[in-house]
Amino acid sequence: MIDRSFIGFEMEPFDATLEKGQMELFAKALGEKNSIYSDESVARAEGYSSIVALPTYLIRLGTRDDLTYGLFDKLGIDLAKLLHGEQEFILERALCAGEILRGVKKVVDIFDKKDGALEFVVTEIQYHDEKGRFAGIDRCTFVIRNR
Amino acid sequence: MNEQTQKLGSLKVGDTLPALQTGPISRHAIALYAAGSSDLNPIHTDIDFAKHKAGLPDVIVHGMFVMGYLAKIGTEYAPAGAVRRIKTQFRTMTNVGDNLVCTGKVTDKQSRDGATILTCALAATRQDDVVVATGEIDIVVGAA
Repeated sequence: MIDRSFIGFEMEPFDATLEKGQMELFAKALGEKNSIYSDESVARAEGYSSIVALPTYLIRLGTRDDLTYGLFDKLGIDLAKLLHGEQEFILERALCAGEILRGVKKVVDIFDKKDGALEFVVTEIQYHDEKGRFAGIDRCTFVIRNR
Repeated sequence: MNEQTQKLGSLKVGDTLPALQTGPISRHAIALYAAGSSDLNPIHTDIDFAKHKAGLPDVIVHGMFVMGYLAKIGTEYAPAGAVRRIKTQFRTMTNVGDNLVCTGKVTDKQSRDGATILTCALAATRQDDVVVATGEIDIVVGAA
């Protein structure tokens, strides 16, 4: 069982750049047809500074070894038992390539069901932009299959 | 307000959005998503790990790939920045070769903070009618 005292545990803030090449590849992987997400000239013609991030691209910013595997290690989670249960993104506005966001990841809840057969870890990353304005939230629920 | 927004803005509670289909999901599609998202978890990228460590018959599709497809319901038919919230529950694993139909149905339409927001229930359904993911999306469809 995961130590419940990790509820409320907050990781060090991190800065993440929205990288254009990575965003293009992400849009390609999902077969996104709206070219505002992959073509700079289209995005600029619509008044954006560069291509716009797809709503679920926020997941990329928080996918880092230190944040992802670092937290699993700290909590003692076995990758082979891990499943992604639920995911939510809240977006304040369109985010463009080149922007740098500051994120803070926190463990907001840990609970179990079926007499501990399934454990759930809820994490949340709050993002703010370079001007300190709220940009979005990445809220994730992991499931650990103990049996 | 552009044409896309007007079309979405005219939708009422109970209306459906055009469905999207993934087509059979190949290992190549999984690899491309792993690269695009940087999620290289071996359960998606290493068949030996999937079989011998995770006890699965094969690698599985990223839940986030399914969510990304569900989000397209809000991105292919709405302007950039219109999707303000998307939530997905992953109900079962998606396997190599699965072909998912992604659907959205309007469940609510209300004015909030000076904008009209359309809320749609999302579902990704497998070729054998099993729902692999459900969710909800909020799309801004115009000023109030």
